[in-house]
Amino acid sequence: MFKSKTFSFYMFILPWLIGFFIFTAGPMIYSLYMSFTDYSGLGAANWVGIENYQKIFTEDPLFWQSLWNTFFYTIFGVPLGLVVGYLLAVLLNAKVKFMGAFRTIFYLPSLVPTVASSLLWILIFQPDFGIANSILSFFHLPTSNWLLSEEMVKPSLIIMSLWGAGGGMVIYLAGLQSVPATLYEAAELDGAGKLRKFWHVTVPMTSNVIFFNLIMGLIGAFQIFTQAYVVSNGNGGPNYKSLFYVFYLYQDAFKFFKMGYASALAWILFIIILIFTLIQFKVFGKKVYYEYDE
Amino acid sequence: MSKNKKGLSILLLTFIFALSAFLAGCSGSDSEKSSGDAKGDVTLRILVWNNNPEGTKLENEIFQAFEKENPGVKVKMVYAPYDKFNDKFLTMSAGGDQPDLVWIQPAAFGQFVGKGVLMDLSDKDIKKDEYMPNVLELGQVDSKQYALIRDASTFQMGYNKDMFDAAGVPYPTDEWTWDDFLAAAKKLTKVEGGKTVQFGMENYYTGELLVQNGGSFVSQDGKKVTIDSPESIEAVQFGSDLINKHKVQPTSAQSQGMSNLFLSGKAAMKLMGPWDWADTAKNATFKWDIVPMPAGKAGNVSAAAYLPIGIGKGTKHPEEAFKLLEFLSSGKGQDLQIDTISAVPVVKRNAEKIVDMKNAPENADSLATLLQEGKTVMNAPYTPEYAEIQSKIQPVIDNINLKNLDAEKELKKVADQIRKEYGLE
Amino acid sequence: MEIADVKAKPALKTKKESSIKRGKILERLLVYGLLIGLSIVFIFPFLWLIGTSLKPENEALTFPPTLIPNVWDFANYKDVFTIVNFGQYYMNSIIVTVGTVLGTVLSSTLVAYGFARIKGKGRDAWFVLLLATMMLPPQVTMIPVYMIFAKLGWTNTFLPLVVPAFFGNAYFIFLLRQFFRTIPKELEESAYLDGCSTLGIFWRIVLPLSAPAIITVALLSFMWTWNDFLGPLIYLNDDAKYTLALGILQFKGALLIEWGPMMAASVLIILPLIIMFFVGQRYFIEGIATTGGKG
Repeated sequence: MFKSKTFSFYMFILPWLIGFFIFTAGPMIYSLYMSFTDYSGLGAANWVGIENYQKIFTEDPLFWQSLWNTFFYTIFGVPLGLVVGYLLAVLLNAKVKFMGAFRTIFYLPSLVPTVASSLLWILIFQPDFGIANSILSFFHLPTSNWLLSEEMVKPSLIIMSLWGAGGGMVIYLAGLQSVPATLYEAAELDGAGKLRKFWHVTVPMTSNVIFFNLIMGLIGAFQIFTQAYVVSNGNGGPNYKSLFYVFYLYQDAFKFFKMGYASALAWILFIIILIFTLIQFKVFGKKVYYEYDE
Repeated sequence: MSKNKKGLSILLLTFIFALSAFLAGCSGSDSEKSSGDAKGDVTLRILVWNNNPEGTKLENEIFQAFEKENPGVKVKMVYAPYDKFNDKFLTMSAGGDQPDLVWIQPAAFGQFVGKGVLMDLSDKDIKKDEYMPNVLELGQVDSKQYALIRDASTFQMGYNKDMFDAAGVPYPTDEWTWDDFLAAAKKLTKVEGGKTVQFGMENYYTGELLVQNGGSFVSQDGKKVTIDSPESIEAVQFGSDLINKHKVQPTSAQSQGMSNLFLSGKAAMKLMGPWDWADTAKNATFKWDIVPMPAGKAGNVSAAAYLPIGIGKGTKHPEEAFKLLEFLSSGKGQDLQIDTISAVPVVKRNAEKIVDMKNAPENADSLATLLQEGKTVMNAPYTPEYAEIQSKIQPVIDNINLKNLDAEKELKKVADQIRKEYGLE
Repeated sequence: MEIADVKAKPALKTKKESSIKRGKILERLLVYGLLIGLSIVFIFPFLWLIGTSLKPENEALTFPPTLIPNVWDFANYKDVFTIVNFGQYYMNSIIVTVGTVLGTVLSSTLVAYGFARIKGKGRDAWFVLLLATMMLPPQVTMIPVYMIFAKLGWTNTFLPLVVPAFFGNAYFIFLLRQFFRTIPKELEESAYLDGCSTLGIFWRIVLPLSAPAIITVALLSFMWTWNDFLGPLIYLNDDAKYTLALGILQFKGALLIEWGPMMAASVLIILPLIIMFFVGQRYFIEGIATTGGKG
């Protein structure tokens, strides 16, 4: 019907292409331009060349601090989130009674608005009477100041994020459902045990969604903001240890009226995430299940 | 094949739904600019933040009174949550869709003026004699008037009379000092089995400590860093001592997640503004009252808490906008706001009415006196960098309080850092 | 994974069989134990939400906070309906969300198929670009995007919230692309030989096979749109046009937060999502039948 593959490809992605040029490309270029100005969000923008970038790299300790905070959160939070979400999905893919109820319950944390659930976590981590310390002291383990401790605030936020692993779980579930039962049957005929089936059938056959959750987890973790904003009362404390990159960027843009500076920060983050994503594609992309791909 | 038919009908249905959703979206989209224009009416838009849903609704009553007095002028209120207010205002402004009038958060005032967002009102006919002292100045930058104030008030010390009685501590007077405060707080703090079950003070904000001792983050002209002045250091150290030395105020670990220690009967004193009166009157299970803040070196003064309203420079109806601003700031709005939204008036003629405000405690008269005598201090300079500087000093003070560090050493360090970074004295 | 029903077999039991059976029972116990244990952890936020929403104002202040209210009080729910335009917000949320979901599903499936299966020139470059659009923090594109919609005269309408969905959502395009790639290619090839066009293959073969993924996309898109307040905050000016997520922020004042009504409203907002998820998750399972796993 169509003249060529290329033509038909562009016809298929046409809606996105149009949207990209109208709603995305312009704003992205605009923000790139603004990153070279002293734009405040109000009034005119004056060209300042690379001053913003220069300042970020040479004079801004909070840039490095927030970048490190974000790296820490990403490096520990993303893999943990992937594993927990996957295991939850595997558990929930079993044929047991009340499965619908269990799945809904596991997904609940993702439905409660972040602001509300973050406030709940403040109570859980409350040093004096919070549940976290109560459990620890019951087992005679050392307690912590959690969100008020410079060392523990990031791990605390990672724990909070694991609790929301049900979000990724849904996608894994859909992936697990797409694994053809014939493959399990074939593996069983070969005498494969449960663990073998898991490693040799389930994991490879769902590598597509694992890869998807990895990339999206990465992009999401690099942009963590709301939880930290709520638990630190909007200041990124204690001592800037929960001041994540986008949190700092947001402060610059809407609290300090440094939209140009914030745009420069955004583009630096953009480049960082892009590099990470491309590395992921190079490292994992080939191994990801492409059996039916050309 | 039947599956395909089903698919096709689903597809059709979705398109119909999509279309109807679109139309529904459009039908409710009469542009506000066109509405009313046909009749020659002027519509003013005012951007506000909401304090509570009831209050936001009641604001409308004041606007309606204005509409009644000014036929042909309609007022439309647009509101945003307080902590997302700048997001809303910035996007509206950048899109050329700026509101005619805007409430202003004092921390953003310097930026608004610096970037020419607000109309200069200096040569307008402002009824200067109407206002209480120190009020007009709150809307000025470099002695030019960029905003008028609608309500101006201040923090006072709220205290639990029952607890004072039980501890045998006499009630504070309007002229009490930090020494009196500390002595009372110590007697009001109760420790049982190694745990503090009742604190003397809930939370003495750094901003107030500074004002009462004559200190500040940055001088009022914004040119000098003053957080390491002897007065400021003493104030911060006093605050840290309340927590770490005298233990009359909870540490951040003890108070985290506790919304209101005062109301739940765990603290004897609390900073309180008129905006807290209603909630306290409703929920307090004890007798309570207010007094001016205890005096440090600067006397019984406290920081001004106020609401400036400005006119957007891009407004197409400057005359009407000013009329509304005047109505709110010195006109009939000042008479209405006391009863409708319990907002403290800024005009002299209504100073005495503060006592009659809803839920006013016994000593509400002391607030009227503070305001009439100009004992409120403006403690935030209107410079573009102030919000940022403040956000760099506060964590240092939090750290002093958290780890019981030496205030002098830490403040000197951060002060020098800020001098260097922003080129200040 | 697969935990087949333990059915008593009428045949003679050997020793080995009974030990397998015992193993299966143990496994089931383990699975149920884990499920129930984790459920307690995961259901906590919701219980807390409901608890707070049912507390009278003075109990919300008690210390330490109670999970189950001492007194059950529905006043907060009454407040939600009497103080704010809750019914109106609900209608608005439904319009915006349904429009967005339809737009997202229609456009994203189409685009994703293009990226997954049609090897056109420049495909990989465009795909990287698609991913890249998600990497720039939205905080800095908010203003320029607003300027576009302001130019179009679309502010204070639902259009800026709904229309972009019809041009595809990068997240879901990526997700669907991953799914489309797992569909056996032979199916499409034989359909092609039967004379189907690319579009025909997409509609008749690929879409029905991707039911679980598409339902997932619809569900997720619904929930995100339903809970989003930033878009409505920026584009809507009239109270009468506010959506739920934005409308309930009124209970969060400059100085005080009205927890009770706020939580009551939150419960009312997420209840339909819970029901929808509960119903929707079945279709992940039914999806098996259509993915042709058995066939």
